[in-house]
Amino acid sequence: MSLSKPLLSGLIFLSLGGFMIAHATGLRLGTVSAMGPGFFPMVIGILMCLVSAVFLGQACTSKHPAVGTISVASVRPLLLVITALGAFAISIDKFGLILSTVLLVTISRFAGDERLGWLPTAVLAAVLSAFVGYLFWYVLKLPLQLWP
Amino acid sequence: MDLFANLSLGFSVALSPANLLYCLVGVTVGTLIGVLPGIGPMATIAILLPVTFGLDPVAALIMLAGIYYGSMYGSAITSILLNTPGHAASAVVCLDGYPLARNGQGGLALVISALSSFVGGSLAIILVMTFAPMVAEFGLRFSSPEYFSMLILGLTAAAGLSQGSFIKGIAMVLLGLGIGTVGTDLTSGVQRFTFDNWNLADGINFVILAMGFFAVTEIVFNLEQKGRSTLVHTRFAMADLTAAVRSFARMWGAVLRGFGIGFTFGALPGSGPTIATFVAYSAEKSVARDSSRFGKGALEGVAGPESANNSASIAGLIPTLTLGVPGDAIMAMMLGALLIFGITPGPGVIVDEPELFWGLVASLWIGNVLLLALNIPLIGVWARVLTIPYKLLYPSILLFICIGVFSINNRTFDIGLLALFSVVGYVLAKLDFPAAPVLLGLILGPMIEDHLRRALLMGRGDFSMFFTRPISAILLLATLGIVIYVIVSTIQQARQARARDETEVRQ
Repeated sequence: MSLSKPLLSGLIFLSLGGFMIAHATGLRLGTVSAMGPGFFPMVIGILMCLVSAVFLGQACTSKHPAVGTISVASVRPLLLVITALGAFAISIDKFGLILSTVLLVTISRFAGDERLGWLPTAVLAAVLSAFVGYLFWYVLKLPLQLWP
Repeated sequence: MDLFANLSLGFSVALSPANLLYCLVGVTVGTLIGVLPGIGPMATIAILLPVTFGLDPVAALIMLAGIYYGSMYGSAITSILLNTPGHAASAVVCLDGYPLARNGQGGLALVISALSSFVGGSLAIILVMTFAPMVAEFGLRFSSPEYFSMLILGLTAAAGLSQGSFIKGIAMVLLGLGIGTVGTDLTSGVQRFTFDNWNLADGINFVILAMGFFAVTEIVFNLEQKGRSTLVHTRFAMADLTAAVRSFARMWGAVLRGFGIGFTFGALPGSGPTIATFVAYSAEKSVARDSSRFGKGALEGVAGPESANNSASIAGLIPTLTLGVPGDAIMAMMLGALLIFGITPGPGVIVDEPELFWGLVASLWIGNVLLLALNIPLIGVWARVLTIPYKLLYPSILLFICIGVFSINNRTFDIGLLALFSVVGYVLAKLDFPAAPVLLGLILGPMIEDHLRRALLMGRGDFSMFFTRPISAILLLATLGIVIYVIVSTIQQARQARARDETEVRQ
């Protein structure tokens, strides 16, 4: 059995619903007239499972083409954009705004098919770090380090 | 207070130099970012929202409104000149706007679009001033059961009337409601889904979700796309303006029809500009003597939907501000912003915050005038913004998204959350799930839970009051009507598709 879109959708929402129900059982459910903290998440979790049943039903009844094979090449833009975000998040506390900006621009450069040359990348990184440094550190005074 | 006293209060607020400046900045920056290909109004507002968090509520809302219609107009420019709509509501404008641009009439199409938006919007503002206080008075009769039913209607409509499958819309609403339960439960003080991480104790800010599901996902999708639409070069001279105004004079019917359609759909909870533009377009097509011109550059195909778009956007303020039930995801973000500023939208807003309400209404009109005055001369500039290569743009946008997310709570944890939402948003978008309902669910979730709890407390756990209280019963009946309509039309489509398959097989 190969993964089709409805099957994958069903599995995603089944696990989300199951997760919500599992977490909600750890909270006090309360009664209908006095809802506890677990009541609403439990209802949502059950509804999610019902919705996932519809997706799974669709997956069984009709023929859907399987989701194409996922290769590194096909998810490269996503992977690189996420890597750039992650690198920025990790580096901003340690290395400061300027270096993390350079890091983000350099990593995200690889995400597209049309790539910026190295010199324009360097210029872009320099211009952007000067701009955000001025705007967010100097003018708006966000609690950020500029340098390590 | 009568209307004129209210209006003078509104204009005195909106015309104060500071607020005028915020309005101007909002309109300009909104258009500038909205014009950037692949950045729609949703992403534009999400990116610019953190900027307004430092302002006082009135100024922030005025600036946000400016950003909103600025970005809508910017999105229309991209649709007409580049054939890439930034928002579903602009998709219709592409149909005739882009052919016009290819015939060398891009400037004409843009002026018609701006003038139609202006007229449709101005008329809608007049109706908002008359109707909003009435709706608010009606809303004063609402209590928790009515609010609960109203919110259910709004969410069902948002899931059912948007494009794509109804059940996927419902799934996304549920996902949003689920994400909305993360954090401290306000009634009991219990931590839900926080896993002892104090960064989650205050819940998840909707801006982070919006940036992940809309802005970053849009960027990744753009990067995956191979072929790019070609930009139509547009020159614009003042001589074209007089010609455009002359042809606009023939568009009155289309503009008025668009305004009426837009206002009706915008004012209804759960529907918004997107449906309004589609209905307005088909209305123009059926009214026209020669409907074959449509799709090849009919000016009515630009004027009607653009008037409807702006009229619906402004009418959407009525349910959002007076009942607290937004019509679409953009209005939901406006509502979320108000909540951040400590204002709970509802029937009391007009009475309790007259400066906010009337100031906003007045600034809507001023903003529309500014948009017109600013944009017609600047058409050439906006067209040039479109030529900025994407490889230069997206790293810059990613950087501003990151810093924007950081600035909401001044913590890096939120950037990690952004990365998580980007992946989830991307996967769900690949599986054809609509993104707007998740945002509505997240913003409205805590309100729904609260009203449900209060209603059940009032009725001592008896669900029947949702059906015995007349207003609540009507709202739930309307919800049922939408569900039945969606199911019936889905079955019909499936039957037609099967019939088509069979004839193909026979041939």
